[in-house]
Amino acid sequence: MKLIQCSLLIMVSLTLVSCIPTKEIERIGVITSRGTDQIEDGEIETTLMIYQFTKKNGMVAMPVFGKGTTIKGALENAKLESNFDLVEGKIQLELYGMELAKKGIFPYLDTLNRDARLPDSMYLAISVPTAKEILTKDEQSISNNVGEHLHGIIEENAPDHPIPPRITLQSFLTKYYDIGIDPTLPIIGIEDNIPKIKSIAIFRNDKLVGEIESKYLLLFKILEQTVKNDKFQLSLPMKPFEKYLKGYRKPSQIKDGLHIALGLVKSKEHSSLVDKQNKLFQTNITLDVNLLEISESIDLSDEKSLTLLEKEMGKKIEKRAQEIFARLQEMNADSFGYGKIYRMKQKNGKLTEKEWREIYPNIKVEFNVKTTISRHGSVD
Amino acid sequence: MEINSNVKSRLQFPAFYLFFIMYGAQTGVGIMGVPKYIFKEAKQDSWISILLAYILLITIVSVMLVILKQYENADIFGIQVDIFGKWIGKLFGTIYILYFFFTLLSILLNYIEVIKVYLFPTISSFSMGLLFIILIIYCVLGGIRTIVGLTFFFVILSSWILFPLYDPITRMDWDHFVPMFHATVPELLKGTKATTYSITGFELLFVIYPFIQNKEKIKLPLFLGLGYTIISILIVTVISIGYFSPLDLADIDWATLNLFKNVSYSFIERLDNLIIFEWMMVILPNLVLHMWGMTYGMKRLYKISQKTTLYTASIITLIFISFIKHDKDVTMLTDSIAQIGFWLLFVYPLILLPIVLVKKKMRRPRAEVKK
Amino acid sequence: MRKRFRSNKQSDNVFPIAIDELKQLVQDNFPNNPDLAFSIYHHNGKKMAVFFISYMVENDKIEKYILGPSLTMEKEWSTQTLLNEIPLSVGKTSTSIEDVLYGLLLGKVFIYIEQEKEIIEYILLNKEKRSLEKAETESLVLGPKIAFTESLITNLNIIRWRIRSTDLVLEEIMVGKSIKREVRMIYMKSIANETDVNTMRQRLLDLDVDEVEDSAVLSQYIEDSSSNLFPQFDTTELPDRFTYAITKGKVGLLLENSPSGIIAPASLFSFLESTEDLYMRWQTGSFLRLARFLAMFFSMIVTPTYVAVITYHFEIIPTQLLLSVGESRASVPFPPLIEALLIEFMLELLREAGARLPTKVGQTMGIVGGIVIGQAAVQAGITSNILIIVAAMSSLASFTAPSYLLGTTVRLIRFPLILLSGILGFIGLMFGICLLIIHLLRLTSLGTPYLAPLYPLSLQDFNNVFYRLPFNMENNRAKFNRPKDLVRYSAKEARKKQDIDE
Repeated sequence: MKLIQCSLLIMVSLTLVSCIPTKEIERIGVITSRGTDQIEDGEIETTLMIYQFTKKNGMVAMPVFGKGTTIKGALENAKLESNFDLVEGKIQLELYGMELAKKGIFPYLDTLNRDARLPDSMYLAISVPTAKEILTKDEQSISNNVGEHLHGIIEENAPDHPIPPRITLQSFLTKYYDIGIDPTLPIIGIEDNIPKIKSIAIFRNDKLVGEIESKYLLLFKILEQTVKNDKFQLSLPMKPFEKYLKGYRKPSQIKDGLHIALGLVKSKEHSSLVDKQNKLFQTNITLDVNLLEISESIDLSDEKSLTLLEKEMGKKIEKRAQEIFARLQEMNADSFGYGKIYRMKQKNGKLTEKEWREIYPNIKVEFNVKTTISRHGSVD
Repeated sequence: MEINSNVKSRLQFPAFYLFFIMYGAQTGVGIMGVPKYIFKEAKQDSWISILLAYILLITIVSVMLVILKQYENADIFGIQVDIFGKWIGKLFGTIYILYFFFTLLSILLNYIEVIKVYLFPTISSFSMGLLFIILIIYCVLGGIRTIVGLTFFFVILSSWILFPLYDPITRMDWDHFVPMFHATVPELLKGTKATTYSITGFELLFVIYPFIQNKEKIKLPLFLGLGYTIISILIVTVISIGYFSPLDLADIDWATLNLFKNVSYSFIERLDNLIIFEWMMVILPNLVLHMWGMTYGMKRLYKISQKTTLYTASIITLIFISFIKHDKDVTMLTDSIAQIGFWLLFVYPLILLPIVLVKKKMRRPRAEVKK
Repeated sequence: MRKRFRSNKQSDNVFPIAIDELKQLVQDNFPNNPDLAFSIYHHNGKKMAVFFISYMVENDKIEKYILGPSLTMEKEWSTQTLLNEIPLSVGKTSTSIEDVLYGLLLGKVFIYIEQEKEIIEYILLNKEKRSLEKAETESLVLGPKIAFTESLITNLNIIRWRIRSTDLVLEEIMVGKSIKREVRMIYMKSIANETDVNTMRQRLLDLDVDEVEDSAVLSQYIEDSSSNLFPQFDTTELPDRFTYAITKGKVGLLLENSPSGIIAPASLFSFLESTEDLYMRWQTGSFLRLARFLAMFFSMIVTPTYVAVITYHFEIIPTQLLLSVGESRASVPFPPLIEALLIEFMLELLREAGARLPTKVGQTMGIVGGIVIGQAAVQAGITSNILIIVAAMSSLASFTAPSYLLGTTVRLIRFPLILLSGILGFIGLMFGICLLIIHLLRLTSLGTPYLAPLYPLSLQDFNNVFYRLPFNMENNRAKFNRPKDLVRYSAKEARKKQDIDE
């Protein structure tokens, strides 16, 4: 009897609930990446890379365009163009045009944060010159969808290639909202007809204020966080090493310095405020490396030569770190989060945005790099 | 009415299940959004507020136990009638029942709100409510044995929910907690008060007490259950504070759910979607226990059969659900419930205790005289 | 029913009676029955009637042992002398005509000497039965293959041989009002829980039906709640499974003319136990048992999940998978709900056809259905590849249940779940699962909770339900059967360890 009542109720409910909109896979266009560009004042154009499934061709990847003043508005506009229901649930990559980034991207992040149906794990990136140009790049070597390709570059390469850490919407927002740290994003440009990661975009709040070239990528990453299993090369002056040369070539023959390639096992970074009065910070970096290649034969069995090599490397890296930091200070963008350290040392733990913007250009940072060569391969 | 309720021994269950009942009754929709409310008050020291809440909880529950122990086998309805007399006692009992009802309503409304925001914006509240009501009715009809079983099962089946949180833990920024111990005492207490909505549910002990078989072993499972709730809230809050930046967290309605948004595995992505459905299992014990408390209370107070109350309350709930549509109404209802709950559950037992003790002392000499 | 039968005994005492009258009486009760043999013999002035139903008895035995000795007898015929002279051990006397009439149906031979107070009866039952065969529905790889037959006597014989103990009780109870059948309630006196035994006896005695067709029907008559989906008593055709349950303290029922026994109380998990788990190494046994649990859950959940995901929750599929699923779905003209129902229905048809057809044709059927129709359906664009895989997995998983009844229940549950997920997505699926769990929680089997030992929780009983420990660690019987004697052997003794060189 009760079962009858129950099943009756279920049937009633079933008839009532039929108002949930279905999202059957074959009826939707799955947006995987979206590019947003500024076209006129206040107007934006979005380029949506979608996948759709048709009986005839199976899976099709194609771009759809929409214009509007808001992201959602542009999406509605794009839907007019497509006969599929465009859904945002699987967006993996959001690209922003350079022009837009210079004006600030925060207005366009709001909907990503507000709409709970969107994922948090999408990657953000800046594109040069425009997102549209990058996403519509039709290139044979790229499988079928440029957005997918870029997502792959960011995702797959991140662990073992010198590019900035993967920046998802969530990590961007955390850095944006946190006082005393500014976000960074990768910049994607076209090189040899293939979209590639070109450099690092430096943000002050949500505005792009400059870029750091790709040659500094790894160092930039080391300064931000712990890095494991990577490779890099350095050029050191030849002078100090001359006495350790094995003598296959004379020092006079060597003109362009000592080139070495290193395998980074693990890097550690620790920053602290040493002198509060003078706003002096200290950043200690320890690098555990393997020697992979060296352009001249140096007698490495000698303890001293190895120590010297380590020291010279440290100096070189310190110098480059200073270069990066000087440029960041110039842009007044605190990508490494010295402001957070400063805030923690404040009595009440409070620091306003404005205060820090005034203090930041005047802080000093001392970089101490300690490298240890743990292995130098099968030969001395 | 009788002050002591004589529960048949076949309906009684071992004290061990109190662990699950406490956790099941406490953990519901509150924990979905609690980090925001605690963080608003106590900032980075929220975890202290939560630990304070545990101390408060233990105190209140101990007080409740002392009150209950003064009687042989009584519940709150009987005790109130004994203390305040028939009319006021019944009035207070009715307040409890109404509180149960509105708690149930607020849980349902909040959950439906989550479904609407995260998944189906156009789904009708009524049909969602109906689904839940069917489950509640079917379960409550099975009696206390089924209810305890459901609580036990669903607490176990939903316990995996906290595991995927290891992913946000790896992305946490521990700097958000520095400097520590910075909140003032009033701030901390406000944080504790903000926690109270998420830890209500323990009041069911007042109702379910006569059904416990071995009352001497009640303490361990009881306090462990409360501890489990607090630990869950603690974990969720600490991770939220580390994961979201302070400005952001103050704006996020359901921070706990957002923690899962980034979790993905090679075979499944967007774990937040699954978690929301799994949350049905989290709130069902909550709903069922409150509904049962209501029906049992009505039976104790007014001798109305449990089935009558069950069906009537279900229909009224459905009516309320279909009329409350705006999220601000839901928030308002939740806030008022939280307020009332604070006074009824955290303050009232403290007032009740001395009265019960005094009354008992007064009664003893009289009884001796009679002898 | 039984009581009335007894009370009649006094009232219908017609003896002594004249032979002709008796003949008339018997024939009146079996009108138009040519098989009733009623022969009258004379000897030394005494009249004797011998009557029986010819095909119910062993005719040659009657001639050899009853008619032979009695007709060549020297002494005068009387009830006592006949009982003495006839060389058969099963002779009894009776005074009730009701007993006589009913006894004819049971294959008894009656001898009546005119004007005696009692009638002599001999059971010389001639029952046609098939010989013992291998189990068909519950097949095993290891262990005894013998199965119950329709003959109660044979079945009792098998059970007695398996449990040679005076402790074993085989209580006889008759059920059926107009057509009576013998039921044997079998339990171990010193182990089985008394309440269970009494409840079962009471239910059998209270049964008010015309007839009981089979033990499966009997179990439906006496189960706790008939409005639910799950079988509450275990039915098995394997004597080893039957006796294993009985030695563990359960109550077994055997019905005459039915090749399967009933075991009670059962829990949901006992349907997933196979005695084979015992015959294997304990590691393998545990693994297979756990695999079966997973299979049941998997079987219920997998197709509904597919429907829910494809219809509403594409977000949770990883992108790469989404692309391949999308591609295979693109050519299907129906919504996923219809698609899934269609395929599941087809699989059910295949299964049903396989069960109805003779074994050899059935096998061909499976191959034709599985490969040819499935492939054709995909090519015709009626279903997607992925659904075929999903549906096949789910029905494969449902066949792993050692109990055929539970397997069918699981397959049945799938359909409402598919419907719910098709209409409400994961909400519906979750609703269905919750409803199912509540349903299971409310069930009891002979008063024992259906989900024991999970709820009420009894951790020590998990052994032998969810996994199997090595035998030296199983020193207690399962608590949830509430046996009288919990301890099988002393744990201390089992744990005694020897030093290396001893």
